[in-house]
Amino acid sequence: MTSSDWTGLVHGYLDGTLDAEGQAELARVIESDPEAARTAAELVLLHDALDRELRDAPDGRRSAHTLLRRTVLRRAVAVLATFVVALTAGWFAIAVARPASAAEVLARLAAVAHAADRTYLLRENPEPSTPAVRSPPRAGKRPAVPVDGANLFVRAPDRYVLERHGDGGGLVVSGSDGSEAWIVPDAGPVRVSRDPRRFAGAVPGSRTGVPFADPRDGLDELAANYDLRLEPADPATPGALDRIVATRRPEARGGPKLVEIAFDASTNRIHAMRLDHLPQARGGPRSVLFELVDDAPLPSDFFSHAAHHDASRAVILED
Amino acid sequence: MDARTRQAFALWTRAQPAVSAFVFALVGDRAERDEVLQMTALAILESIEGYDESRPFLPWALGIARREVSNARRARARQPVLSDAAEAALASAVVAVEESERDRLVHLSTCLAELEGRSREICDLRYRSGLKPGRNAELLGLRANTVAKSLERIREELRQCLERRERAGGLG
Repeated sequence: MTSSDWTGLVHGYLDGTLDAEGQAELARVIESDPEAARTAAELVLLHDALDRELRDAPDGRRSAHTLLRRTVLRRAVAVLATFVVALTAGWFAIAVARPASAAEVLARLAAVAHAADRTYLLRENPEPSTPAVRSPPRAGKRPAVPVDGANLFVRAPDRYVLERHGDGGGLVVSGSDGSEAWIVPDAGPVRVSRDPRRFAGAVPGSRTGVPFADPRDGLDELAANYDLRLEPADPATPGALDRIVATRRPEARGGPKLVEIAFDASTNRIHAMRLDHLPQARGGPRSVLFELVDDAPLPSDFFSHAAHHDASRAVILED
Repeated sequence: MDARTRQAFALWTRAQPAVSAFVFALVGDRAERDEVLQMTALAILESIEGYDESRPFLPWALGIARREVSNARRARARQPVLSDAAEAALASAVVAVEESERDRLVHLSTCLAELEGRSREICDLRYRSGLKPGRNAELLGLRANTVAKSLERIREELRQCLERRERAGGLG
């Protein structure tokens, strides 16, 4: 077998076009020829790197972009089905799992949070007992941005999109693709900054060390400055979720006094996160709830500003 | 987060691209790869106490990944394409080339930018949209074999570009 024949076999395997005979030949050569196996490994690494590079690229070609949108619904259904299976299987896992500390569970949540896109609905003062009135800001402080009813889309470690209604009722969209931040107001030019953290202040918790878009850092912050308590779900209550209750230590400064995370122990996926007793210097709500509403993969260019406004809109690069 | 967990994160972050590639090669599906990768990360975190620090981390992580791939196959009642011995040999080969390939792959976005026209379109449909050659060919009005051969040529050109750029001194 020539070198070209061999690489052709590996390419066919990676593209799923090999017949049974080709697959058997591939396995035989990999087993018996270390040099050929190394060539296969090089192609395997390139194949995966291409998939990650292009899937995450912010600027898509129109044909690929359109196709991707068509397949989103089908993939969302597939993800949901997988999730339901995992949830069902998880009930058995919960029963036999060894007790884990809250810090260990936090580490697991952070590990999983890096792997999937998530969409959260934000609600201010979600408990009926909490007054819906927003506190006014202290003198000289810019008021906190209202986020009640906003949608937050996140892809770890640093991509997010926040869709909310502005003061005039129009839709304001802000976000970051990891390399630049942007804001699309309901009117006027789109503003873009090379600082990925610019415009992130509207995301509750982002100013006080609980950056939801980067769960690893955010959960690290919790582990460092909060006392953690694990509250397992009541097995008698179907659909109940495990909880981590984090209470800010007296010596820690800033941030909400209480953070509550509801998660599925079988998938280690965060379903809800409540920031309670938020700092009030800038006014705003006392409490904000992040509620998971979807975990379907988002289009590859979703975190770039171009996906959220017409091509004719003026774009200003601020710095 | 204790020191051992932090160490596990650091080791996993470094090993993840190679583990991801290996898993992708075994399962052949992007969503399933991501799912198996999640389970592998969790299994590594849970069993990090059993990791012998005097030995390299990547072979250990690939062993755990193989176990998670087997679990995923069992759950889907699917047979492996490669034999057990071939999977083990491929894992060893990934370990052998991982470091040198990592150095080359830093130039991937630069090499991709050199792709133009139909080549770029085929590559986008394959990797951005995740379409196999048959579906890719339908959309482009080509024969599936033509698209498969084009993908083979594109990847070989990219390999040559990566090697060229690495030899040029890693200036991108």
